Amino acid sequence: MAVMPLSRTATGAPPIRKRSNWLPWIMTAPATLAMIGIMYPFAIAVYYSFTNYRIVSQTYSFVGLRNYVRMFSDPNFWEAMGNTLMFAACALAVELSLGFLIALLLNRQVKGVSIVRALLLLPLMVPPVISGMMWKTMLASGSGPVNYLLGLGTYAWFSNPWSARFVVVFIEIWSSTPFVALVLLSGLQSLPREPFEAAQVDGAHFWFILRRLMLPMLQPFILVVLLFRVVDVIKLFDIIFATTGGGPMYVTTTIPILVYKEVFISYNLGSAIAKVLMLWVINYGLSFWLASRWRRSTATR
Amino acid sequence: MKERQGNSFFVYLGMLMVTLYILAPIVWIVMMSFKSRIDVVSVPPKIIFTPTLDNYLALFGLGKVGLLSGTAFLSYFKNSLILSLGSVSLSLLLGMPAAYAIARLRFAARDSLAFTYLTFRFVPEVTIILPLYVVYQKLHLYNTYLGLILVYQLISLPLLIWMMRSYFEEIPVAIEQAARTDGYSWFRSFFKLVLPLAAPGIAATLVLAFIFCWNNFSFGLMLGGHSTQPVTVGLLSFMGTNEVQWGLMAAATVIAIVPEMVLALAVQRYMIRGLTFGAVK
Repeated sequence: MAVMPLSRTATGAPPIRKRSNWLPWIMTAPATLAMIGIMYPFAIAVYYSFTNYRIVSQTYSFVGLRNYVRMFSDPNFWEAMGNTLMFAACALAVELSLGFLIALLLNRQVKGVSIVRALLLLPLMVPPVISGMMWKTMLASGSGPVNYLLGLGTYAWFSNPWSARFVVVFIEIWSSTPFVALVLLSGLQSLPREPFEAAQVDGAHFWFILRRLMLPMLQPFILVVLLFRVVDVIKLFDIIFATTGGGPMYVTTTIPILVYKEVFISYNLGSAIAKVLMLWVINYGLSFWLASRWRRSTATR
Repeated sequence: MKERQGNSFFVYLGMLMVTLYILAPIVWIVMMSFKSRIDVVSVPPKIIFTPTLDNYLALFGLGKVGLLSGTAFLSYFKNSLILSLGSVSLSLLLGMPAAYAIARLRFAARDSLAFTYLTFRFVPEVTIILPLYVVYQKLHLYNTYLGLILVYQLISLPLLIWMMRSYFEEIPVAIEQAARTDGYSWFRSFFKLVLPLAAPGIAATLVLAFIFCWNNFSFGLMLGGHSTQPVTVGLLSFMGTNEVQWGLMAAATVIAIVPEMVLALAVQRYMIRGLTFGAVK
């Protein structure tokens, strides 16, 4: 981690005029103001969630907790919440384990390994919405190569509830596993050799090395991966929008998709914001928890 | 760790599988972009076909695929360029002083402030979009480049602040002190010494921020209209329900993602650091 050199300059002159303690605030003001400018409507929106605001009329009245009461008794909301969490859990579990396997594989010094490492960057550069579109053509029922190779004929991946769920998670895994693999690979490469050599000399079992040495030492890297992946996978929108659009019925509808439909198809902004707030609470809680754990894990190194 | 050489067959098999897994859809979309209108929908799919440039020509208004011309794509492409370049430039302006202050100045809220900038990276887009939708309608920022560039700050600004901060921190304070002792003004020492030293990292970060902005979909979808929407939104209109248009869509996709991939390979060395906001170097 970066050192803090300023605290060690007691004898020399500090690099910047120290006289002003408002200087940092002036320098950070433009960025802070921009962020506040983007975020302050959010505060107003909390109020809208207690109204029946519709974006077509823009007139509204206070309705108290009605949006929340309706939301909690709405099976579609619970289905979308369930999908959001289930997709996130499945995608994360596979991305972490597959990413770790790929990292272990590419940690070897064999010919061509640097090419494969570079290839890992490609899915990360494909916009998620385009990943969705690419896989939609791959999985097309007649003209797609996947059905052809698997001999599935005209099987329609996006019409069957379970295959639709599977495909959405699969595409998310395709586009994000390389990120996990690359971060864990940097982690593996930063590990010292000695403990592993010593363990091997002692005849330690592979699982022992993995559980007692490798995973604990990789912890800061795993936390970084979790932090960046959890928050992204919980707001899964682009891939679903490009492939199933949330269907068939509601089986692949996540909270962002549900909210999109509610605002831009039924125009109910007030009740949509109530749902969005639920998503925000989960997202904020998880990211705050993971980020502070990550800060702690790097601080102790 | 000790390298085991014995099972290199399985290592290569694994590497081959990873390669196929990553490349399959990309290769497929590239192939599709060179297919004629009939080959695109052929059942079973054609692996061997006579390549044609029809789709690309149609995109640039030099021909048609059936009754379709893809020239709308060019304006989406232009929008993406304006939005991404505009957002990255604005973030650089707003973020550089903030990054320097966090890297070099001592003040009580320094860590909390940096952390607060980071949390903006984690906000779900819809939570921002819906409130902004109302405000943008009132301020006439809806469907404007300016409005979109402002909300794109959520993508590029936290990244730039965190990365520039980490590159500034790597430059020894002694260099600046020496320059100041020699009578350099602060501005001169910053622009003549600090900035050039941090430049490669910052340039790579700008590229990455550009890519992130380019890849965004939801802001343009919900806060932009036809005249300002980026290529990610525009491409979906080629998708439609009609498979015949997929050739055009594929060609447009290739044009939209290939420059990014080239850029990404060029800054490969800085990539992981950027993707993790400096957490992994």
